[in-house]
Amino acid sequence: MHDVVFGQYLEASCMSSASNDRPASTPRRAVPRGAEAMQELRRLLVQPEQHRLDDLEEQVEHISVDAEKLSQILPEAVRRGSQRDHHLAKALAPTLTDAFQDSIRRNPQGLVDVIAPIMGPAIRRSIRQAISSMVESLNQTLEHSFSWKGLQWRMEAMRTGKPFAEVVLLHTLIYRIEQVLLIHRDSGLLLAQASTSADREKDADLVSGMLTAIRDFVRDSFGGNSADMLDAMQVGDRTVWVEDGPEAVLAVAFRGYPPQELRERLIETLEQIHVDYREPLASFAGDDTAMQPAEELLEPLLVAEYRATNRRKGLSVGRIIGWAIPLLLIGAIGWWLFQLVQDRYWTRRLSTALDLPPSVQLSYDHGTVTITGEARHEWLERVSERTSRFPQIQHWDWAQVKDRDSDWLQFLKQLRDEPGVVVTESGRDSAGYFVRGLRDPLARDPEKLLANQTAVQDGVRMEFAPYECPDDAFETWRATAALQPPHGAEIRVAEGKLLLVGTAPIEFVSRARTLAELTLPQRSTDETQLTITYPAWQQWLDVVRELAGVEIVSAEIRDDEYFFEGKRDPLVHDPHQLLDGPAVDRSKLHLQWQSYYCLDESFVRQRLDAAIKLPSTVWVDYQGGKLTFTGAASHGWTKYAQEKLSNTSGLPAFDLSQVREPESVRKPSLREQLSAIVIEAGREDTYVLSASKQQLDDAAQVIRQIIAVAERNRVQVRIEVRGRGVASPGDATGELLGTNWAEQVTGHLIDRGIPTRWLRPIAERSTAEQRTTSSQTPPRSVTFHIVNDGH
Amino acid sequence: MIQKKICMLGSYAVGKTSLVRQFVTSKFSDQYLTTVGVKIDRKAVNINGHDVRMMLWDLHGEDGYQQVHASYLRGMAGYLLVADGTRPESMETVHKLHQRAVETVGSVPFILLVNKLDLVDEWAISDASLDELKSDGWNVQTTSAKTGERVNESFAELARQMLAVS
Ligand SMILES: Nc1nc2c(ncn2[C@@H]2O[C@H](COP(=O)(O)OP(=O)(O)O)[C@@H](O)[C@H]2O)c(=O)[nH]1
Ligand SMILES: [Mg+2]
Repeated sequence: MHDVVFGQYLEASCMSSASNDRPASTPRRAVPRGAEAMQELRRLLVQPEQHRLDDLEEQVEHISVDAEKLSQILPEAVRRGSQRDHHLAKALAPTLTDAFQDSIRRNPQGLVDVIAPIMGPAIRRSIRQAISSMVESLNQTLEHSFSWKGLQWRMEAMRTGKPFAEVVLLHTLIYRIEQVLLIHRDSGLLLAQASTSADREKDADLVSGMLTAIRDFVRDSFGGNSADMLDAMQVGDRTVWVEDGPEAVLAVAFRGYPPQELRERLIETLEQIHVDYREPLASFAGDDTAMQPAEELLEPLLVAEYRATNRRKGLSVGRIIGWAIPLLLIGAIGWWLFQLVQDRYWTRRLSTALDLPPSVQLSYDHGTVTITGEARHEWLERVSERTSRFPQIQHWDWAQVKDRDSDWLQFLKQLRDEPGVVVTESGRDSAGYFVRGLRDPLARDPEKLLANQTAVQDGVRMEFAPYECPDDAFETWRATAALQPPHGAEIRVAEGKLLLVGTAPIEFVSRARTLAELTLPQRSTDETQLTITYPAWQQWLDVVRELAGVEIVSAEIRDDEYFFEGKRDPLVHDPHQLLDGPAVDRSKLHLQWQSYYCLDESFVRQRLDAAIKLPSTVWVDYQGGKLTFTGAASHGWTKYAQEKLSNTSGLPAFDLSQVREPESVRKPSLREQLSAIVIEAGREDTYVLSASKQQLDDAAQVIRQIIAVAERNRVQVRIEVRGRGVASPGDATGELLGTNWAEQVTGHLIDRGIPTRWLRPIAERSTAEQRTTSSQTPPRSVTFHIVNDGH
Repeated sequence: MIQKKICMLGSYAVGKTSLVRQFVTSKFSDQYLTTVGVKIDRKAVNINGHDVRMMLWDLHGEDGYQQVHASYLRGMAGYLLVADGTRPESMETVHKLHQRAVETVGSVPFILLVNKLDLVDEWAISDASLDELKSDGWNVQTTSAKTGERVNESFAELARQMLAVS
């Protein structure tokens, strides 16, 4: 309320003073006399208030100032106001805050530009404190490591107030800054530079551009946050540190290991530049003349620091420990951090570069990339080719990744190695593995090979077209199957030839030759280890040798042709009709025959039969190389025979002198002659009588003739020698005795040269009927009968 | 010394690298090496008695795989849009890149170079469409990085325009 009244007065008085330039007289004097009573009344009623109003009136009169004056008074007023108490600040705060916020909203960069140089050091200080407290704790771990040098450093640490570890760190570093570039942040144009060599200066503008481009690239590639700017780079043994400012970027290139302080110096320098060159930086459009003086600020950065030359007084254990432990620890931590970053970077980079399938994991550790999980062979191959693109990686460990296709590849390899199988195409499509190729029917069945490969059995499709594998082994199999080599012979295909080993008949050999000629590349056989036999030939010769009417003069084989010379009776047919079984190749058989007459009885008799017809009363006996004619025939016939036989070739000497005239004698047939012979036995005798000797001789003579005739005519006959015993019915002794007689006589005939097989001793069965018919025959006797032999 | 950042913008294989090489070294090669990322060259020219050092940012070609990032364009004082006269689609890329340039640095001097003038028989960009651009206020030049025709002139013209602005 009070404020409002004050405000109204202030307003009113201002207006009045505006209309009337002169300062107004007091209100009391301005009131007319007649109003004095009223004034008095007012005084009585509201005196205390009146006093205050008067006071206020006076104050207002003093305040009445114009804007011009106010502008002079205000700063002082504010100063005093704030000296006295905080009322002014409190009153102004909301307005200021609003104004400030509004200004920031309108131009944030402006605030940043202004504030960065101010805030920078403060922020840095707090970071440094944080770091030093960390170093401090490190310090504690180092507490017990001391050496002379260490003690010196410790003193230095105490003197300068730096933690001991930081001092150690500083002393172990050497570095040399070679170039400092101040780069316009947006355009990458060079603003100013300082360099240790003029050479380097020349290309500073290109370096600046490239550096900017690289940083742009890194930022674009690793996320767009501009706070994540690349601030260090390694180029060979040079390191580039980059510090970002709002308008300009400061880059230093150096060798070695500068202290972290350098960073701070960079930042400080950059901030200084931003303060000093605010205007030219903000309006920079390519003309760097205004920026040139900034080089003065850059030059001090071209520092180099070398390790203090320490006079070595021998290495004490303490010194070594004093050096080594902190260095090792710091190195280890640095290394660990570096690896951590490195590992993550590489893991990520390789994962994308290698197109890592989900089944594969990749990890990077100390320059070694380990790949685990399982992958398709194709991918593994592709990737192992790509590894050369990453020379930074010293070792790729593939041992732990499973090749999903390894079983399949194993199988494929086996297939490829399989004789008689040719793989022309193989791979994997949406339906699984497939393989196509050729297969010799003699080769092992790929399906069976697959059956052993349980791991890939499923879904393998195989298509094999038949073909003949030209390998020797297969040719050998095929040849063996086709030729079926006989026992004692072996065949093998080697170098395109058919090698024959052992002993083999010519028939086989010639088949082998044909096969070789038709199917083998060299079209020939190798027979150096082969002995050829000619069984058919030998067999034929054996047969021919046994043949009647044929004689071998010579027989030999030359160049697998058979040369034979022989003699042959005209009655004998060409003997190769005799061959059966493996025949001698007729085209290779050269036969040469001479005729000759064979004087074997059958030939002689055939020629005789052909030459002359014998009357039934004439017999011919061929003995001692001579034909002897006996019997009866007319003289005329004898003469005719004499002439005919003399003109017939192929007959031996003959004798017709014993042929007599027909009436003189009629020679009984051999059967009649034989049956006429009876050998009697005495009633009581047990043995054939010696008196029967003549009869036995006669019997033998006739039987011999019968045999000759039978043999000639190829008739099977037997001479039954029948013995007769006592003819009383049911008397077994009689039959036994008859057998005995017959056997005795048979024995005598054998003694006389008749082969046993022609004779059959039996007892004559004495039936009643026989008894009557043979009543004339003596009761004990032996007679002879020709019978046809059944078997 | 006045320095200017100039970007070469255009589709792949239109001849950006070749134009820079022709301008800087007066050489041409038929070999095509894709520019990866960015390559920076420089050439000093004298414009009306002023030495101007042109810092030429040769960016990789814009195509479906690689996009020219806006960050490369920041701070450039001018740019050359490059199209290949034999490839009409390279004009589309020109428009796209022009738009990106305007969004990034506002309006700064630029020239459209329709390159490979030596192959003019095979050109597939109509004069009419170029005339239309000209009537929109574009500076359009036809160049050949191979013969060098109108290359130096075009770079110099850009330098002149940039000087006039600042
Ligand atoms: N004929 C002809 N070929 C050119 C010309 N300019 C560039 N080329 C060829 O075009 C291809 C691409 O050139 P390049 O400069 O690498 O293109 P960029 O990808 O835009 O940098 C290269 O084979 C050059 O030789 C030109 O003016 N005429
Ligand atoms: Mg290029």
